[in-house]
Amino acid sequence: MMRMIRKTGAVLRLIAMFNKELLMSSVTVLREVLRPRLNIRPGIIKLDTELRSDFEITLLSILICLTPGTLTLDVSGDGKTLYIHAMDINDPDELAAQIKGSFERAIMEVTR
Amino acid sequence: MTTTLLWVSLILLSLAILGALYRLLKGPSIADRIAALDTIGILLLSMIAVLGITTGTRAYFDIILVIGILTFIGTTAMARYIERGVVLESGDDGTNH
Amino acid sequence: MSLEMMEQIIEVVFAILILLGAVIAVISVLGLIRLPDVYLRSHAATKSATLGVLLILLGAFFYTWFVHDFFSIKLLLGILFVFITSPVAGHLNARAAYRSGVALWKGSVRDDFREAIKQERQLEIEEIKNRN
Repeated sequence: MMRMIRKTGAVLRLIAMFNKELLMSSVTVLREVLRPRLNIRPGIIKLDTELRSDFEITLLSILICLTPGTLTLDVSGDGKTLYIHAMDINDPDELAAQIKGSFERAIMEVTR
Repeated sequence: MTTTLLWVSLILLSLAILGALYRLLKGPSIADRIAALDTIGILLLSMIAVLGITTGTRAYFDIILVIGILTFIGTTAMARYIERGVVLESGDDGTNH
Repeated sequence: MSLEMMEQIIEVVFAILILLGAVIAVISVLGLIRLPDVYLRSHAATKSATLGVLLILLGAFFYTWFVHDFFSIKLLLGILFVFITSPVAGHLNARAAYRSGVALWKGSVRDDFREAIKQERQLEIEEIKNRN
């Protein structure tokens, strides 16, 4: 019973966090598009994920795809690495750490 | 007031479809055209939703689902086609990589 | 405040929600037109369009609910469907573009994927050689 309550809380937290990310990064992308001179540094970064099952990886890549500014390009055959095209990279490691810290942790809380 | 707002959104959506049409005709690569076609489908879907509530009928809401499904299947098929040159493949080991 | 006025206000609020969605759709199409390569364009196209469509369909859903007094499950299904399919379509399209050899924009700062693709191709070639 306690477990179910905890799970529900985790799912709700994931949805809330996702909505926040969606709104914030949408605003960022829209601002970049409307800027008269393009000032972006796009690129493809590597993200080593700790998630294992197909469901978790699918969920992670769909969430990354849905947030504007990042797009899953491919998942390596063994499912350990995600290749992400990002719109504006300041610091590649920081971006990867940010995705790991937000989405990956929330997904883990839901599925484990 | 409401009707005006809804008509303005309809006009904006048509302008957006025109813009996507430009990318569809111009797009340097096939992937550009596919992305533009996908966008047109999604915009058409939302346009039909707005049209449905301006005319006060709910008969159009079925079309939303149909267009959503058709857009997705079309995009998937075309993306697979430009990736490998075939839409449905049957590898001997069953993998698609 | 009379009930009629309340209804009017609710109507206008949802119409504004729809208008906001339409404006976002227009801006994202602007991105589709002016951004320099396929990957950036599909950022603008599939993602901001998602937010625009979400706002429009939610507005339409609440509008039919409160004004026409009809709970339209089809619109909700439409939202869910767009949300599930649009990232998949964007991902497939971008992957197909990369594998069919569409180059990244010259302003791109980093490409970790090129190495992985190279290795994969190498393995495939070796496999074919071994088979013969």
